Amino acid sequence: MSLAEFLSGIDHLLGVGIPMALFSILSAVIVLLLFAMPVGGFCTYLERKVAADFQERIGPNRVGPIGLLQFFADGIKMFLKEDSISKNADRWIYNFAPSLVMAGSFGAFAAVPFSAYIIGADLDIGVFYAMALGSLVSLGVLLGAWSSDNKWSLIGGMRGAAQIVSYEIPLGLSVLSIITVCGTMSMHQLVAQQAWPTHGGEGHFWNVFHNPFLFMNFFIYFTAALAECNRTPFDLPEAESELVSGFNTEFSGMRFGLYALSEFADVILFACIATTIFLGGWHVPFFNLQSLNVGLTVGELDLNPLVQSVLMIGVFLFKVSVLVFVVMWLRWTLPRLRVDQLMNLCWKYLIPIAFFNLIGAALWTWAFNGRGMLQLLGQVLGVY
Amino acid sequence: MAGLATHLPAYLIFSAMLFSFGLIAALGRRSTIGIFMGVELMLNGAGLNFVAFQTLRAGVIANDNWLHGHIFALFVIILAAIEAAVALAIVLRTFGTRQTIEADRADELRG
Amino acid sequence: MTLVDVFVAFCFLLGGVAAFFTAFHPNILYAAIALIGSLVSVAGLYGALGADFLAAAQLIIYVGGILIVILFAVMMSEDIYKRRFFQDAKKFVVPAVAAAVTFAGFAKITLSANWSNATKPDFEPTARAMGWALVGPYALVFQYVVVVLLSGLIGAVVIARPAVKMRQLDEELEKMGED
Repeated sequence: MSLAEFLSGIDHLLGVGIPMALFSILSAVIVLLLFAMPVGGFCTYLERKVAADFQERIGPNRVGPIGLLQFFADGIKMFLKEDSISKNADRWIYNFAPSLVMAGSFGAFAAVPFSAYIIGADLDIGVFYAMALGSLVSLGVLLGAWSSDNKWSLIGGMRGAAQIVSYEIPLGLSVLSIITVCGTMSMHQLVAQQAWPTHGGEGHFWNVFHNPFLFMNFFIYFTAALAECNRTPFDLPEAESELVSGFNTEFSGMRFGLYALSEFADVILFACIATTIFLGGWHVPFFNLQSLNVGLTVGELDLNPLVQSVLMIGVFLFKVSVLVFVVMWLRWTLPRLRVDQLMNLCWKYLIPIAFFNLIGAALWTWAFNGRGMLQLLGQVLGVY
Repeated sequence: MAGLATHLPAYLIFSAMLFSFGLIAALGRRSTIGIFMGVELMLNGAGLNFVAFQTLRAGVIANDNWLHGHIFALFVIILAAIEAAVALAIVLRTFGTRQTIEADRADELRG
Repeated sequence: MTLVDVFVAFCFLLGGVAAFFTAFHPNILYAAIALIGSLVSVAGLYGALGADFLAAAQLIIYVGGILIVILFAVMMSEDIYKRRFFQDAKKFVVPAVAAAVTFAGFAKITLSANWSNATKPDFEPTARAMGWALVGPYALVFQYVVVVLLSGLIGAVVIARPAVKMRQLDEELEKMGED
């Protein structure tokens, strides 16, 4: 599906003219924000709880049961805080930069397949689209840092932009190896290919178990994604011990809230993409959820897709939350890297390994005709 | 405004406009980076032309479906990326030796 | 009138205004930010023309790469805390006339031609077809671009090396010559 097709599709769907179509797009955006905001907010709560567990503290426990409503309190605090702008700040860019970051991290959610039936837009270039929108984030970080007229901010922003641009290369290479193996960039088809192998030869199970090269590339993707989201051990742009708070030092109130939220949204987005392209999306071992038949009907309506969707979303979100937990776990376990170590890791280790894996994955696909390890094992054992 | 999306002259005029503004920046800006931004605008105008012709005139121009216009626009983007890398290197070098990046002031070789 | 038409009109408007500011804004940093608008609008037009792969490539390479490099160059080479990267208006007179003449020429050619036999576009996904073209009729050009890219990157690294290292390199080369 191309963009023009997507837009004219909306036209056909509504058939009620421009104002209605624009209204529907607006409502989709609002729904997306209503989904992303609480999830991002809940992540801040989760982060504090995980941190507390690692440091043997209790963590937030006052607002609501076991502190579950803490993020509401945080959000209200953010909204009510005085919105201070330093005197020499560049107002236009200062107001504009946080929204760039937001657009980058929230817009990409449109291509995430939560189930076989629920996906914002099954674009033909899904993965590429998500990565392209993600590149807006570095621009927002750099501009926000510059506009706040603070040297710490600027150093943080420079680090952030350099880091994101550098780590986009191993990230892109590991995604490219997936595209080489699967032969498609559409998120929906990528997931469909990762079903449990059956007699017809359909599906090669999760891409991470397709061949050893993709297995290695999963970890390269994860490392690069950590750096893309500015998470520890790669959180140099906001290193508290050196740069006060890095690129968002001068931001207060809801503008800071937007930066904090979109950081979590970024983490969730990269976890979603990792789940989709490496961990099989909503697929589980031994069973294909899409062939599930509970035989429930309400009148004419078949309830199967609904039941399947609920299960698929559950599986998908479970995998995503495991990845997000690992990200938080790493934050409270590993110390921060130095700048030179960061660049060394990217250019001297990750990129050559990713190149090697890309060639390896291509050779594997050529040698075994696109079949994965599990399929080959099944053939050797004569299971199918 | 009906049919604007498939109206070839609109795209051509727009890309000519991008090219012209790029020309102004490339000729008129004093800073090397400003000149470079002008060149980027001109390249974008050219790339848009290629794609517009490919999509809206392909059946008239060529009888194969190799997407020639898209490939050319892709090459334009790649070459612009190389240009950016080299330009950044030159700008940093110039700034390191002269403490300015104004194109007028790099005139040591003028006779 | 469809939604695509509105989208295209919006892109034209955004791109035109942004290109104007890129050319004329006295502050080079604001010009760079206006360039974001032009590049994003061109990406949008690529999308509306059915070139979805190119639209994403435009975003990821131009906005995520080249613009960052431009902003880096501005921030590292100009004295940003004194904000002295300004431009005088007089310099623009001759280029503006030249550009106006160029634009008039383009517009005259465009409007005087007969475009009535334009084909109806079909919006097939393009990524696969482009891939085949790159290893088919354009394989040699593709390799050429790869070589240019590599040599450009090496050249950039060599140019941007710190001066001290360049001197060391010269001395080492001289020593090698003496040996």
